[in-house]
Amino acid sequence: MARILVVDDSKMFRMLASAPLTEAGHTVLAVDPLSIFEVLKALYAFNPDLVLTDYWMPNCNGETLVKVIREDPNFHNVKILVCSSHGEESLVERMGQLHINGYILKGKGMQSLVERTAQLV
Amino acid sequence: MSESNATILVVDDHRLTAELTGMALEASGFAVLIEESGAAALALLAGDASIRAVVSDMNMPGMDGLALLDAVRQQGFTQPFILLTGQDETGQLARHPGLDAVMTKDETVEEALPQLLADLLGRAAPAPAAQTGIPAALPGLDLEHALKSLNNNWATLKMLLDAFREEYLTAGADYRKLRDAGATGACLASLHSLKGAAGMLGATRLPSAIADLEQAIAAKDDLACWPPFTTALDELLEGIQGL
Repeated sequence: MARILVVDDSKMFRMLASAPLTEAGHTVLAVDPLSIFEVLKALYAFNPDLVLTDYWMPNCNGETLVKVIREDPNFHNVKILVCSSHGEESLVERMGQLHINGYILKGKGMQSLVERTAQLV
Repeated sequence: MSESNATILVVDDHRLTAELTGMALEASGFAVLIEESGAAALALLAGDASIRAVVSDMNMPGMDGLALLDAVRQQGFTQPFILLTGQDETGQLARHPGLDAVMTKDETVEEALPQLLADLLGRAAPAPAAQTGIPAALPGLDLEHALKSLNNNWATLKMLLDAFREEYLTAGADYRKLRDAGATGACLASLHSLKGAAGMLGATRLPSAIADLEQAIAAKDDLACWPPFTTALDELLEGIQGL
């Protein structure tokens, strides 16, 4: 089972992501991204196998977060799954260029999250 | 409301302790509401006639458990009130007027508290939620899908549903006010967040109603899209309340 860091500014979403992943046997830490530094602190302290992050967040842009993780040699093996309510093709394409490991829509539900996570870790 | 899912208000300034107490009660078929202060508990009790009993921590900053007891009795609440406290205080506190029971906070609470509540509410010991308490359907939600994604853990789904209801209880009116006040960006951001949460939860009608509303707001032609949104939201919230 994996260590999963959940990053989302919505408290409700953090609960809705943490619950099924915990039920699936993973160790989950959910953080409120008050700034990108808060997320980085959690990354170093928790040392996750996978980061599940929202894209649109007011204080911590998901795209910036992905770039920062990918540029840090400490996190070369960390898988990144972006989860968003947006499904526009252009955004999905842009995410693909960021070397993330998957992109899922919140509208697909908790089961989709559990299944996609299981494929990656 | 039937006794099998009587609503219990748990009051504890430590959220985690309150949630653990709540989980023990939910596992026995009770519905649970949590407040983290006496003042918040009083406000909730004043507006929610469905609460059948209060389980309160003794030691809380500001209003402690006994002060809360006195206040709720003055407020006219006559249902059972149970105080959770440390080992040394039980004898002294048990004599306090208006108190139905004192229970020591230790490892026996998980089993003893649901039984005590069952006795006080005058009903048989509750059956585990794994066997009862799961509704056949919930309007506006793919219940089967949601349960499956949580390893069929009804207590966890119930906790998420209650949290969802608490978070978005006044969202319909609140978001409309934002729109009417010209705060379109804030309105859209709030709708977007709700759409994500509803989609994750497995709501069947609400996400598409929000998507329609988002598009209509962007096109500045949204008047007709508010009623379908509030109808879908209310349907889900009322379904959760009825659990």
